[in-house]
Amino acid sequence: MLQLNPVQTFRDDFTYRNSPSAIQRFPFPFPQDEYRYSVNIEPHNGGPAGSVYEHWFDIDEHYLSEIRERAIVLKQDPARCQVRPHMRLAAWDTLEMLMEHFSQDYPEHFTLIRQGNDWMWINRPLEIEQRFRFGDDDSLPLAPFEYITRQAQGDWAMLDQRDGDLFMDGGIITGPADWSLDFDLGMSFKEWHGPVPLAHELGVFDRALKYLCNIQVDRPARRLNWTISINPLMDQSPENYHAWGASRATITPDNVARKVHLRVELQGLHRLPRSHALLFPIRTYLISLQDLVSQPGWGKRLRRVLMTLPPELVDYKGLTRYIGTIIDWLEPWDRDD
Amino acid sequence: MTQTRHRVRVSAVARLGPSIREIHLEPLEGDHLPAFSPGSHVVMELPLGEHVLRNAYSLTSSPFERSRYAIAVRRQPDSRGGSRWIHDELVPGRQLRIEAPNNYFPIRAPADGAPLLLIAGGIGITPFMSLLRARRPDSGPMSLHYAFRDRVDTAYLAELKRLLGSDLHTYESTAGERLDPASLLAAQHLGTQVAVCGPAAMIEAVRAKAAALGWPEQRVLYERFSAPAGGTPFRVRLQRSGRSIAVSSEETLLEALERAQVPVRSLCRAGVCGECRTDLLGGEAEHQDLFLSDQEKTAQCAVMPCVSRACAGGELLLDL
Ligand code: FES
Repeated sequence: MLQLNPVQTFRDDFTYRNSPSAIQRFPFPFPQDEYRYSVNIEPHNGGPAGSVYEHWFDIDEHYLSEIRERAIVLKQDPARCQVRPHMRLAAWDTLEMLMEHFSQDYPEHFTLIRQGNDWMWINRPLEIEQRFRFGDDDSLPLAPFEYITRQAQGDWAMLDQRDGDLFMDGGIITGPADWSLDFDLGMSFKEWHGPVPLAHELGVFDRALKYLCNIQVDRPARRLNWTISINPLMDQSPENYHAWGASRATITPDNVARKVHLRVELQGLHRLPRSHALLFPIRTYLISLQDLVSQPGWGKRLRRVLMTLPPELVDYKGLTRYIGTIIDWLEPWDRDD
Repeated sequence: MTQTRHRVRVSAVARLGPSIREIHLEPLEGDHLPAFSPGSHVVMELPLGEHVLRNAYSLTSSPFERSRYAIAVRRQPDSRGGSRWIHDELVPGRQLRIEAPNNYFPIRAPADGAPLLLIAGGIGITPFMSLLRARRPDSGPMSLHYAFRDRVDTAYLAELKRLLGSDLHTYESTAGERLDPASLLAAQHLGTQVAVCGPAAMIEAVRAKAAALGWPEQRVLYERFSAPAGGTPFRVRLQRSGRSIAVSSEETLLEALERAQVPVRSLCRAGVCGECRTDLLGGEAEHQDLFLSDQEKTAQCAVMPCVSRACAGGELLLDL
């Protein structure tokens, strides 16, 4: 049974901590001792029990903290959740998919009871009991997409598929790694990937797009993405730049282990059955360097990846000012014995 | 990985014409089947004698109906026995297995409000039915041009008339009526989305005309109404196991490999999804798929066993 931590913070005093079991199940993203760009998309059809891949949508000990963090961000900036009008069917698809999977995979926390279109949703951690009619927007206190994703960890986007391309036509993005829904809304696949260096030349996006457009119902895919973050600060949006941009200059050999976090996104791609849109969850995991090196081999591997990272990417990920401090600090874990 | 399978029961067999049956399927477990989008198909397992044939059929029921699916099947004189089995053996009460719906022909109205033009040839009407049966007053402008041999043996005519009214245009070839893709396309508004399903010649004519008119490629969506199954027999050799397998004229390369218990991943079984891609080490293939790029096809470096065959009289060497 999944234990949920009491609420911790991703801002101000940063009380966010990983338990030993959260450290063990952290999705460490580097398969080899060297940086390599690839289309690392693979089927997302379950994984070892207890791992972040076990279920379609991972819920962990940080559930309550992330739900609260999302509410704070939305209160300050409601534009972090936007859904274009033609995505209404996709929004209901999303609600159904999340309710079905949460209640199947975490029955101790969630229950879904359906009688035709009369549904009842129970979310015990958040003390919610909601009766509504499936497909009827007015029967819920919020629009369906916002309603359900406010009860789910991670950011969520809906990608409309048309003309052989994907369009970012809805989402709730309160914990992004340097991108903005308000800016990307309505963009095509290549447009919203515009800033990523190198990948365009490698033809990576053409292949990825073809693959994504052919993802089928019940056969989701996933990939990992990573960056480095100062403090466990979820909301690294351009809108919030003042809160994180300057922190890059604060890293010293004394605080690097505590302050620097590896930030990993587990990105899923799920075909929504009625609308044929794609649901794109972006689930973020944060781990401090001092916790990371507690796992055998991870300190050495992270160091080698950082040492082989192309300069364009060092720059793109915003690591220029402190990558050297990290590499130096990790040196004791990279000795042959 | 294999696709989720669902056990279903045939709840009704309806006669849509002398050689067309509509089959209704209801779930054996639970009270609803997976939701799907217009243009989706299911792969159905047909137990034909000692082997199981896996055939794909478009879902013709409305996506809003979850308690049953419908498919329509025309009796094909030259078929591998699938349609004959459905027509002659399949009766209500019979239990079958189907795979969860897939969609490689996602038909939808353009988001910009431009009109949707549907072109169907014969039994190629089937993938459009789920869209049309779910049509609502606010679904946006659409019209259907439906060509067939003769009225008597044509699926869904009366229902389409009711659903579409004056947006239905029919062409009965035995009465001398012809659907001419060139003039039809030339008369369309700029930005129209076309979806065509029918014989290969019809699809080619539509695509060629659209290209000639300068339409963007993405505005022409097409689906062959059946994957090309069968052709001239040939042999494949498998590099890794050293085996040699005969592919008869009745079956696809994928089916022959499955029969010989060589595991190959597959999904669409129509040369679209890319799942079955297999490296080609020798021989010349007739590709027939929509997945490999032109360069890959010319280089003869891979085949899609669900549709590819050997060029006449040849033999293929596969990395299996
Ligand atoms: S199974 Fe999809 S291309 Fe062959």
